[in-house]
Amino acid sequence: MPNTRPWTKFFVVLLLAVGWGLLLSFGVSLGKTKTPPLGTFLNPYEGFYRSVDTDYWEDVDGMSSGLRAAVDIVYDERLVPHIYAATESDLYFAQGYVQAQHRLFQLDLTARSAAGTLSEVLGTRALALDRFRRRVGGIQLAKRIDSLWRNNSRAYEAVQRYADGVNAFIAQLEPHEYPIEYKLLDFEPQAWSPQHTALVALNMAYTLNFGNSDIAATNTRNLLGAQSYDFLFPGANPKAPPIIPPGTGYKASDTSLIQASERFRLGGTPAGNADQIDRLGIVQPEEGLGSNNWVLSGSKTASGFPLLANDPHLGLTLPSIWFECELHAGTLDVHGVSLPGVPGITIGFNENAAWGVTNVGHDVLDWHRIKYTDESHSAYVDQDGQTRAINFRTEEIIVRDGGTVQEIIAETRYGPIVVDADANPDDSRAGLAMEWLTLQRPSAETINAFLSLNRAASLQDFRSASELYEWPAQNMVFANATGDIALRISGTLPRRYPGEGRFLLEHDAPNASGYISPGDNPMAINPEQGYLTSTNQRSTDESYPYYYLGRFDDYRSRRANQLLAGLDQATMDDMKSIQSDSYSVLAAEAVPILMRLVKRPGLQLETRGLLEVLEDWDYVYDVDALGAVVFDRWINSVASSTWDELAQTTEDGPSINFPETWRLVELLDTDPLSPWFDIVATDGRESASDIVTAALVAVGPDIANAYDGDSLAWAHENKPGIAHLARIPAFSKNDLEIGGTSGTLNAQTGSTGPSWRMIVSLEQPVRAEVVYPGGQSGRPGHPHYADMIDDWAAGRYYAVSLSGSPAAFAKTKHTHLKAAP
Amino acid sequence: MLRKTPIIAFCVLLIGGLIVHLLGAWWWFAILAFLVGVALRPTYPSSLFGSGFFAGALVWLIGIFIYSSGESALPQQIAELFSLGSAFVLGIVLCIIGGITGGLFCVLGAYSRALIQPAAKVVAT
Repeated sequence: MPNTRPWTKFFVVLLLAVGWGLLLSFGVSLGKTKTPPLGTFLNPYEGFYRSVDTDYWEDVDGMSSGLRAAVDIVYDERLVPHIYAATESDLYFAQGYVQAQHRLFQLDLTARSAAGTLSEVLGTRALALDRFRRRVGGIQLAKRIDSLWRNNSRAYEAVQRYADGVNAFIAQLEPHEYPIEYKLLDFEPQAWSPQHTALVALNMAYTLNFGNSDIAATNTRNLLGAQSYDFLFPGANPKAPPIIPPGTGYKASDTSLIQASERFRLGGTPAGNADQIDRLGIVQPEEGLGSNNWVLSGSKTASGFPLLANDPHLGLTLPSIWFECELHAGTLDVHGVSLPGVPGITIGFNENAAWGVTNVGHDVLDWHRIKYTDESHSAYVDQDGQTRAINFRTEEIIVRDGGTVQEIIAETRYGPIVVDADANPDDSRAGLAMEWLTLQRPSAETINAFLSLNRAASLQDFRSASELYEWPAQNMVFANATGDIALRISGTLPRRYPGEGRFLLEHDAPNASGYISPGDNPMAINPEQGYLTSTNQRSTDESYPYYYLGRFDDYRSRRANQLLAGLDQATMDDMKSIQSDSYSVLAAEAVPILMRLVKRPGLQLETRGLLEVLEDWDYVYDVDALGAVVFDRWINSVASSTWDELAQTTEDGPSINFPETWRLVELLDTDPLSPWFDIVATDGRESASDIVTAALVAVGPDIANAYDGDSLAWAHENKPGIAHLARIPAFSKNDLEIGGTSGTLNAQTGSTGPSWRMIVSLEQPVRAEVVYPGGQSGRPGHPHYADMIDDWAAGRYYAVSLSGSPAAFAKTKHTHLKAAP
Repeated sequence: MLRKTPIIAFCVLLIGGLIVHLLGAWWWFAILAFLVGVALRPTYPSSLFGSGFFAGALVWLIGIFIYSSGESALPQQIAELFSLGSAFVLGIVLCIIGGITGGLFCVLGAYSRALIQPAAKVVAT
């Protein structure tokens, strides 16, 4: 009988070895996530341990091949690079190289997000977003911008040399040197081009000017009727002061739209049932985005020179949306932050001037209902009665581990038809075309606007630079060392008939074409009040001759104006305390009204206790403010009960707009017997007093149970955190102990907040204090990955000033690097 | 008296393992371990598992020491990502993975050789 044992043992061991080999060679699915190939990832010689290197940035040899002259780079204690080049060409090359060193994954992911190629690396979970972004046409837009740049030597030089720098870094990377995210997600860096820079800009446009509520507004108006809709949605809060101080004169070189307003109102008020085209899956910008900036003239400061402050509030991520750097080339000396992927400085200061931005927030996206000529949906009847063909193209979306998906994209004169059978099973193409200013107006000059701002010194320099700027529209503040202050609504603004763009536009509704002349954009210079500020509120008062609409801040502007108007002999410390101000004007206004309306008899002891908490509250959203928790939950519950007519339609129904909080507070105050307070589901007739009392009774026990003795009550309620770009929990920083809310100047929500705080004093030499929630290195685990978060959370800043030359830095405290061709 | 074959296997795999890991992918070491198992022809193929395991574990441990940086929190974060709690535990797991790779493929090599050319049985006297 043959001995079978050796064979048995061999096969057992073979099986084990093969199994082990396969396990290490391929990723393993863990729930919804899949690990990278474990052998490569875990092996210390090529896997994640090779990404532990904290000195990766000291190697600049890869720059040499692309430089035309030597470049000096000095890193300070926060890993902020100060780049000294002989020419701007070499400067932007070095900036691209350095930013890729620190933020390569961020560059990659940002461009992919705008292009609609995330599925290639993230798989099916990104497919819905990719499909939508393909329909919008990000790649096509980037190509159009690229071709415009090629005929614009200044812009092209900057973006091409920046791309060369990024690619020089990528070219010398070995796979084991890839940032950790590439190893985790198991993909390779893509080569960079000017088109990718355009995609980064597009990504910012998605964040800042993609907001629209036309469809929800149409649904809501269809539900309520025009009269009720206009009553509940009257527009911007009239108590919020406009950005441009009233009394400032406006230019109006085109009055044709104003004269035509009656025609629009009578002839083409858009309506239609928008229910069936509602489920679009369109990703709206995050709630809570908003920014502050202001400038004080020398007459209001202790130094006698202007002070400029800016804190753009954006989605907070790790790595941060910003990368701080200082750039020197010839006569150019500028310090500030840039968007990784874009050359130059976006917000900052030079030796003569400083500038900052907040989002304008005008609605620049409209929806047009397409009237197809027949069932083939290949042509449509245009506004002028002409039949026009729909242009189709097919794009292929590569899906990791899932093959490819063919996406058919339909284009009209207005823009792409982005609604299809997925959104509406009853109609193969519901026919909603998206007209977005960003797509209609590919911008070659926006990059030049920033490059010009980097050198700006005079008011004229500022005006010229800001007039180059196209999108997303920004409220640009400016101050210079000669004492001028200015604020300009910068960017391309659409011409509109009054009322145009509030609702879905029917195919025959007249809509204005073209854009407001840049010379007519609102601007204020050296106002008598001695300061200018913008917090995303409405741009102007009613005297501005052009119609615009949008979603505007209702409360921060009031607080900013109140604080700035009261300042005299202002210092940088005053600016810091305003940026960290968590006082809620909404709460200060609403709490007394709620206290007046609530029926105290019959309330349980613990609920009465909450009223005492509110009575003692100073309306400041500090980390420990239990009053903030009580008010927030209470007012939200009051809103839910008041708008029950709307809420009941949203369950599995079309999207609906809810009136803004200021309108609710106004109703509570002025019309407590309004029928809007009646709850539909009950037989009786409720008043504001009933609603307010019931809301408190409803939220009281939960608050008492959850926050009894909690010294971080508001922080635990708000749950502020900073997530990693790819939402990898271990690379995120959560449970921050910080105050603020969306309606306070310190506009901190769970995932958004002040992404960069900058205060500049325009004395000579110019000095600034800055901080942002993150760190310079985009590499998780690096000492400079998240090192500024604690200081940012505590309201601390870092002093910065322009350094004349590399020799100005102490050798012992800084790292000097040199790259030469 | 110590057996020579496992010690030789350990030494070859340690030195060879360092070289192949510095030059190539993780599976180069698996091949090396397999070849060592084939070449050494031990009396008991399974006796090479320990040599391969300890050599593999040591090679990965050395790799951790070469590339770790006290300043980086990345190993801790990766440990959290894999629900391992701490970088220390992660290090132990890595060493075990390196060890199993070395041990398993070394034994596989030895069994392959044993099938083709069985070693003479050592008879106790």
